[in-house]
Amino acid sequence: MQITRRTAIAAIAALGVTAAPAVAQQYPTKPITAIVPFAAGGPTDVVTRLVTEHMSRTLGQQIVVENIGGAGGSIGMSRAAAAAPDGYTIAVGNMGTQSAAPALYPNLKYDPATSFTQISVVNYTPQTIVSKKTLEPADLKAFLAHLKANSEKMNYGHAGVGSISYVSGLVFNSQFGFKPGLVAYKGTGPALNDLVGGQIDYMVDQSMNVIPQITAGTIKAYAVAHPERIAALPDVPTTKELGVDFIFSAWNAMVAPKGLPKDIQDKLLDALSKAMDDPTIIKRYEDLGSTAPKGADRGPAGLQKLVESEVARITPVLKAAAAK
Amino acid sequence: MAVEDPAGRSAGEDARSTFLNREVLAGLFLLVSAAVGYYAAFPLDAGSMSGVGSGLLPKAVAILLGAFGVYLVIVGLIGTHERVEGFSLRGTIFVLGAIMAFAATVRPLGLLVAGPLSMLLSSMADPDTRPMEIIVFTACMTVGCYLLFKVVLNLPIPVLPPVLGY
Amino acid sequence: MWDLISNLQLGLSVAGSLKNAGLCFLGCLIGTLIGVLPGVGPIATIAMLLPLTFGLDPVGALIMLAGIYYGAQYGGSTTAILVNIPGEATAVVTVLDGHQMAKQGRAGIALGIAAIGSFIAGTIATVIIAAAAKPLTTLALLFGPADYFALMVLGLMFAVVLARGSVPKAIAMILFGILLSTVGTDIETGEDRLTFGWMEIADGIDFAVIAMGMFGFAEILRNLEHKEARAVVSDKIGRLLPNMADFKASIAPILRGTGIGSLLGFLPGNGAVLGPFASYSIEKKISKDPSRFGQGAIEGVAGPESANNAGAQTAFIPLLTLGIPPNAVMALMIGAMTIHGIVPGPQIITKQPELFWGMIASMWIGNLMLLIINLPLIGIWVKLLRVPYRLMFPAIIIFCCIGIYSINNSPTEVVLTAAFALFGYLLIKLGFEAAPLLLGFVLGRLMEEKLRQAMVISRGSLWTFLERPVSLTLLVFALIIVIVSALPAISKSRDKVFTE
Repeated sequence: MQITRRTAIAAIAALGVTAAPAVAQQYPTKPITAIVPFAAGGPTDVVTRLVTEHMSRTLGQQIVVENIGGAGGSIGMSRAAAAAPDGYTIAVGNMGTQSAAPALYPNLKYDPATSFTQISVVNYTPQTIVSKKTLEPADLKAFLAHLKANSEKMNYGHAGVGSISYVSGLVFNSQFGFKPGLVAYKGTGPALNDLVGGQIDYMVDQSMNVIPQITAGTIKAYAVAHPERIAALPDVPTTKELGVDFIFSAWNAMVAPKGLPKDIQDKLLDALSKAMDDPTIIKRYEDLGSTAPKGADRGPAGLQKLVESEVARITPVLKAAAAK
Repeated sequence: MAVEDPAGRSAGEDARSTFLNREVLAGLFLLVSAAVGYYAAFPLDAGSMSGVGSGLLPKAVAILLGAFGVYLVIVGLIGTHERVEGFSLRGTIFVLGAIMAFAATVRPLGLLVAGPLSMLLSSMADPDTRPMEIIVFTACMTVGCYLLFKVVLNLPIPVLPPVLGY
Repeated sequence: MWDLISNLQLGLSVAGSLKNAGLCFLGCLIGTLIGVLPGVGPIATIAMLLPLTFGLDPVGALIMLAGIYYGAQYGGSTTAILVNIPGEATAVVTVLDGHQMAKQGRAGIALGIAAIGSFIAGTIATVIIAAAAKPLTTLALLFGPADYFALMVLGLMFAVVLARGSVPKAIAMILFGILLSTVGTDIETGEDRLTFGWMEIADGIDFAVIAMGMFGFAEILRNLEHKEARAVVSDKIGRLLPNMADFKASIAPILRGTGIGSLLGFLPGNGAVLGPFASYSIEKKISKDPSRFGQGAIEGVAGPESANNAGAQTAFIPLLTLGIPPNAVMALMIGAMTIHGIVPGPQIITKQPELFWGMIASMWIGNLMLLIINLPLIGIWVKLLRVPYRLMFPAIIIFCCIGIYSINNSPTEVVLTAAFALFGYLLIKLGFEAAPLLLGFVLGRLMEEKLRQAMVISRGSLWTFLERPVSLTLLVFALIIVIVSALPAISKSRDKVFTE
């Protein structure tokens, strides 16, 4: 019901301003599709639904989320890259699709740095270093020492090649020279389940996924791989304050097909900005252990910089892992 | 549309055969499938015990499948078994054609074109189809599908060609 | 005990409020609708309806979404029985005897016993969740990858029992299913497997694509061969509801199915899919006349349907107690909770008791509503069977096409379904059965994943399967099934069916 009424109002509004010269001033005149390249219910999907619901209100048009899963998100992003740059198709990719994908999929049909009109980072989710609750080390330093001595007998769980926990694990393990058994799961849920059950030893995963288990004490948290403590885990120290050089954040980013008119890009960014500044959404982000981009990090330039630097950082690690 | 028996016998009179009977064909079918599966899995590494590779299961299963194929061929050649017959050629062509037509048109042209197109195509699979009846039925079904999938369930499926606006 | 009662009281007061009961009813209604529509699964629907729940409070929203989920389980069996299309892995077994019953003019009885069995199963499962969710969670966490692997091996043994025809052909089909399950990106190495470079199937083939092609469409192709064959369904319409004799024959299978389904449902990692298969196999094994199975045996509908519904309910246990989703629908429920500002996790019971107990109480209310919704609908469904086949099959095709498209909003999947239709038709012609293939497909994927996890964890030692008590027990069971199946008496009775 709601939809038809909104459409009707928008149609009437559109008729009223037919005299306006630029097309973009009328934008949007019909519902916008937001492609999420993952299954519904995952971290990217949840964040997208949170912000697009708010953006719909600002723009006066419904934003319909379309989940197109497959190949670590690269199928959905390929389709987004090929869509018409008219502002009616946008997409929200993540660190995997916008940085790791070129190294993982040689036949990738898009280049994260050049195939899109960047809009903005939507959120960052710092990674948290966690282990099964029975692991002896009491703090991060002891944990790293324990891994140094025993990593070959230990097991790292991840949510499948190309997933965030796979990439962050590779970076973590290669940086410190750990060589654990890599246990692959289909998705974060089963991996986390086996971490809680003590079948695997440790993970480096998005705080969003592990916060409930940490606060309930079913798994142990050693550190958040972030410069500042996160609101949802006030008692968990950061790698920075412990003097360990490992900073790693997952992120989601809103993009549109390449060639999007500047005024439409601005409209979308403005709506997204309003959403990210909304107190309810700030609160939701905090609960998820997530933060919104601020200052220069927000907007197309910040996103472009992030994509380029992440591709440069992740590609060699993934290539080295694939060569093994 | 039953395929005629080469010897001119009607189906059911003597539907058994010692050569190229159902079991032999079933065995051959498995052998071909196993070969395709093994070929596709060929570049994959079977790995070792501690690192079971991506190729282990597909290769092992393909080999076992092939073994069952050989078994069925032998069993089929030893005794007399049913023949394979009665393929519905007309049905197969139109039903599969209708599904493919839907797949080809749903994104560029939308549900209101793809739906009736595939319904009308598939209805040609059945010699009993009455033209007027199926046209009216298709129209009703198209409206029904639109209401059900678009209005009630709100699925993100294109309705009309994008050039027309929605 | 007192705790339980006061908790349930709290739950009922939340779920029984006019608004929440109304939302529960709405959810069940939508769920039934999408369950009946082939291909349109709860995932697509919940995702699309999520925005509508933004205006609701979290408890109400979740009650409604849960209603959609188990409503869809109910609705799915309707399609399985009426038109031979299993929408989900769990409905494959229902097709076997359910559709046979429909062909014999007993569609109403099959639908009725499915609804009643599901209600009984749902009621018992709700009590189990309320009374033992916590201890069961602890138990489930003891299950490691090696134990899962053993469980899957046991499951494959069921597949052999499932077959009504030749055993070698059934095993070949299981193998075929396993082979198909390996298609897609390997999660451990990231390599493309058996995709022939086709990116659209990089995540593997969707279950609904295979099921709809091999059951639904292939059945249409077969029906188009002979005019006589399809008249059967529309001619005879028998009794609309099960009578006392039907009920008597079904009550024991219903209770057994409930037990099996509940047990497998709470295992994280989607153990619930095994429930109906296990129930069917057991009913067939202990039956005095196993040859009736596959020919419209009511136990073959009652048991698996109950197992299915019990499993669908107890699958909420890992979600509610750990905040970890056992399957894709539950993952979506977690997403929904998060959007509503509830971070699901182990603390939800203590921090949000009204949500936890409200959900549990709503399950029972939902099951009651489903019974009320579904029993009167049976008359309508059975009447639908009178639609002439020349109109029925184009309608089935269009519904299936839309449904498959909606899985991933991708036309590729529709094309693949056409390919599987041809494949399934060929298999029917060659005397193979589709059910063992589908079971092999479902279990193959889990089995390989668990085998490889177990092998990494044990660093390649096969002893891990024998050292762990759970896995050892399960493997011994599997062995017993093999031996029992190999006994001459049983294979003789199977031959009888085969030559029929």
